[in-house]
Amino acid sequence: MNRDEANELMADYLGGELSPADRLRFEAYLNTDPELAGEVAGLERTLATLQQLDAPGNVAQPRTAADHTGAPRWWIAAALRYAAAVAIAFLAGYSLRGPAAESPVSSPTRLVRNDAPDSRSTYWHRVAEAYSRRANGSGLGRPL
Amino acid sequence: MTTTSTSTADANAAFDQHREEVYAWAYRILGRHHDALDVVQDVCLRWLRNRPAGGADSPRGWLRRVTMNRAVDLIRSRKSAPRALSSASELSARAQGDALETMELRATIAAALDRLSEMQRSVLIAKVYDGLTFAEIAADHQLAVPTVKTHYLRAVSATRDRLRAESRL
Repeated sequence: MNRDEANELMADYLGGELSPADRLRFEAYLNTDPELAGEVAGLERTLATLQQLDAPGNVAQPRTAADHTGAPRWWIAAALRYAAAVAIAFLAGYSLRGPAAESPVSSPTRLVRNDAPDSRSTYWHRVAEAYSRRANGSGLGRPL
Repeated sequence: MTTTSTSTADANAAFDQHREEVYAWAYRILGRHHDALDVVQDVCLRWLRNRPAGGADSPRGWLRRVTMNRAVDLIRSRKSAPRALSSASELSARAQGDALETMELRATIAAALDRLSEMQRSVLIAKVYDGLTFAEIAADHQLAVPTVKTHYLRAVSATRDRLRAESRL
């Protein structure tokens, strides 16, 4: 076998379609042609790499529960932000006291006027909401 | 009306015979269930509109070629998505069980396939994943067997070069 013949058989060799006899002849030739042997080895590694990509066997079955329900995870983050906002407002409310002003909002105490008829729970709820909106980037600036 | 309904039903039934294959072809490149389903739906619609009727491709050959084109298109459109969106997609893929390394491998292979001609891509997929012989692939696409072998070698060589460039080989 020579290089031209080997090149003719290359596709069949890589594609697994050589007869056993031709396969032996081809491999025997590779032992005498290190350059071609290196090229064949690279192509074989490429094919092995391609074959690493698998596919699920069943089209109908979703891979995970989230695939099936499409359950959004945004609500988890939103709930955590809300809880954090409540905690921050609770702590801030005990340390920051002062008269409300009509200036742009910059602290929790400015969100609610002292003479607002809110109950305590409603007050903290609105403070927490305001912080949550700020965290979401919608911004504050309007007094409640 | 009845004839149209019957022919659409027949076309749907014909597509259903290959649905699993279409999904598998798409999934191997995309690595995500929902993306693969999107491609299946897209290909199905194209099948209903433009399916081959005695043309150059067999039904399977046509579907393989179109599926790979759509999967590569989806990869391209994903590349041009804003970085934040890509990150969210990556997180989603990881959550769906695709390891980061496999994701990266898929992306590299998809990029390599993107550089192949349509026929090189189809021949490579048919040989590597479907296990078809060169003669079967030639029949799928109405090509001569030597032409199929040439497409195959060029496709494997180009993919090797891309994997080497990405240090994945």
